[in-house]
Amino acid sequence: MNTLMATIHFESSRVMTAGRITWWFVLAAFPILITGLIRFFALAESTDAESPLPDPTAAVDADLAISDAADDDFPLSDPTDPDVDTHQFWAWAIYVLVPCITCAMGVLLSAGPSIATELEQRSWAYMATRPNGIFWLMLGKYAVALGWATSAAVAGLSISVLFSMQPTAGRIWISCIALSALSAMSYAAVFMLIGTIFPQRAMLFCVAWTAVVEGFVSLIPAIINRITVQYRLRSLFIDWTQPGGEFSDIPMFSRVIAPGGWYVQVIWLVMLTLLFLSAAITIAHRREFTAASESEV
Amino acid sequence: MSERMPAGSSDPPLIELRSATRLYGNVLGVNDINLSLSQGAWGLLGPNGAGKSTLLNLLTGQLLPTRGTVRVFGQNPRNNPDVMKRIGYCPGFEGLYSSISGLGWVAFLLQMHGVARRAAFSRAEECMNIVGMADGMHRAIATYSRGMRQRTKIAQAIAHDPKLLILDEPLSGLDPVGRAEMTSVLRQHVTTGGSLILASHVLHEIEAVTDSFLLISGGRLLASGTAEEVHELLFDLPVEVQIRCDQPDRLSGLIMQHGLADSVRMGRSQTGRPLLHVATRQTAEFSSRLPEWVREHQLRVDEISTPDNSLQTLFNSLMKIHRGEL
Repeated sequence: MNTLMATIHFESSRVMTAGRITWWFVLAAFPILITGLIRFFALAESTDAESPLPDPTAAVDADLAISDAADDDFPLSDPTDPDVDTHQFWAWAIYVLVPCITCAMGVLLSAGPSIATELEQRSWAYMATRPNGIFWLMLGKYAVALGWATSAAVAGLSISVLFSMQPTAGRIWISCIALSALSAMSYAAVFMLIGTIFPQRAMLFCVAWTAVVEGFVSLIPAIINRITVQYRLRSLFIDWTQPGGEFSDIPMFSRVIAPGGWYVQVIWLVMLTLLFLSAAITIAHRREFTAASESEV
Repeated sequence: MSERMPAGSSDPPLIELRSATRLYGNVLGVNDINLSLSQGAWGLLGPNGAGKSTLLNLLTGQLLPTRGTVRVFGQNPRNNPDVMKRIGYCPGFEGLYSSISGLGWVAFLLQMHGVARRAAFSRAEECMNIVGMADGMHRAIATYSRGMRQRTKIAQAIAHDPKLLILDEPLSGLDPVGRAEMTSVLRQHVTTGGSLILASHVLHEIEAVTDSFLLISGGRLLASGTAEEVHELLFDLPVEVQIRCDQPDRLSGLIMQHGLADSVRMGRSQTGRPLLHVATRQTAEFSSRLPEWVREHQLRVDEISTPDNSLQTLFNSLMKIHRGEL
């Protein structure tokens, strides 16, 4: 554990460069910028005539009324309520912007090229000649990538959710915090595995994987989508923010949303993470990266 | 197989290679090396591309042999924490993190050995002092000169007090003072009971630390042992004598006529003058006859050179044997 903490501390200090800090702010600013723009245009239009986004003050009133009646039940479970559209719009927007894009981008930038950077600057040999050096290095890099991406996502999320001006902002925030952590945890493992298999083209393959598997395959209504991270995250998101069941009742959605309780999805994500991370560490142990660098010379 | 074991020793050899061969695709890194070394200091000597780094990578477990076995402290070094605890490795390339201080880097690598943070920094500071980096240890490595980086690399190799140091060209990039200081550090490691494998293509770097060496070329181990031991192996080999004279054709004819040479070859010196290369096993007879020929045939000999007993000469002889020139 001392070794792991040392690796995390060391890798964290390496992340504290001007370039990496700038990227952190860019990541955190991304959802803030988009949600800010949405709110800006919504407000501008609502002052002219009919706004596509209902008056947030009215939503708060409606929320209070429903909350009184339904106690702790989710306040916007009635699909005929116009505020449901607003809630769903903001919840989906924040979900796509933060756990999906910001977190995935964050770990793509940090975990994806983690092996490649060690090989490029030829520091791999120093770690490979320490007791279990590769194991601790990869765990440390994974933990730092996770922290780096999640912290940027939480920062972005915390401000973005304010722009929603929704009575359900608290629920969206809590749900998306958990989803961001799970997203970063799972995608970091996926990208570490890809980076270990293809260290020379890690970023390219990570982007391709994200677009093809997480973007496209996860939406295919077949068994194959069940092994994607996005399928599980999406199901969790719906479970946590759309408890009315309106999505799972629609046949088209029923195959792209996982059945079962939230804990089933969390267990799946943890299992996928362990699988991908174990595979990455095993491959890093078995591959002779020194031979690769020599053959290139 | 080269056996370098003390008599009666029951411990496994420090290093043992059996038919160790490593291929990079179709390119041969090391070829069928059999070797057994006991503890001590060994110089791994060979020209660039001889396979020195590949051999060191096999010993540090970074590479697996394509064929054969490699054992360090009697164990397979590949992903072996027990072996890694006992070796200190200094690669031939830099591979340092530019944004980290030398002290922080050495301390981190010590922590990878399980040393607690405070103790790691204390020991790292001590090692940086040993290698003469007291002044620059808190600066970022990016600001280091090549010599300072080399010293820092040596510091990380010795920091966890390993039993075996494996160093690939550790003195390259150091100025003469730095070389002397680092040579002293390595000698100190050996005199306190540590073992050392020092790879270099510069002979005097190895001579300054040890007189035991392994000669490698073309991926093959050509010889191992002390200079004296290898000289004995070469006892029956012809000695090459170079003669610069005014009538090389006539002199070569006389040598061959008396059957005193294995081969006679006509060449040219650096100044373009004819130079006779005579390979002979009868050096005594040859030495006594040459003055007679000079007197009887009015020859003028300007220069005679014979090899001395230095390690360089030995190295040259072994390389010639390897290339089939002797």
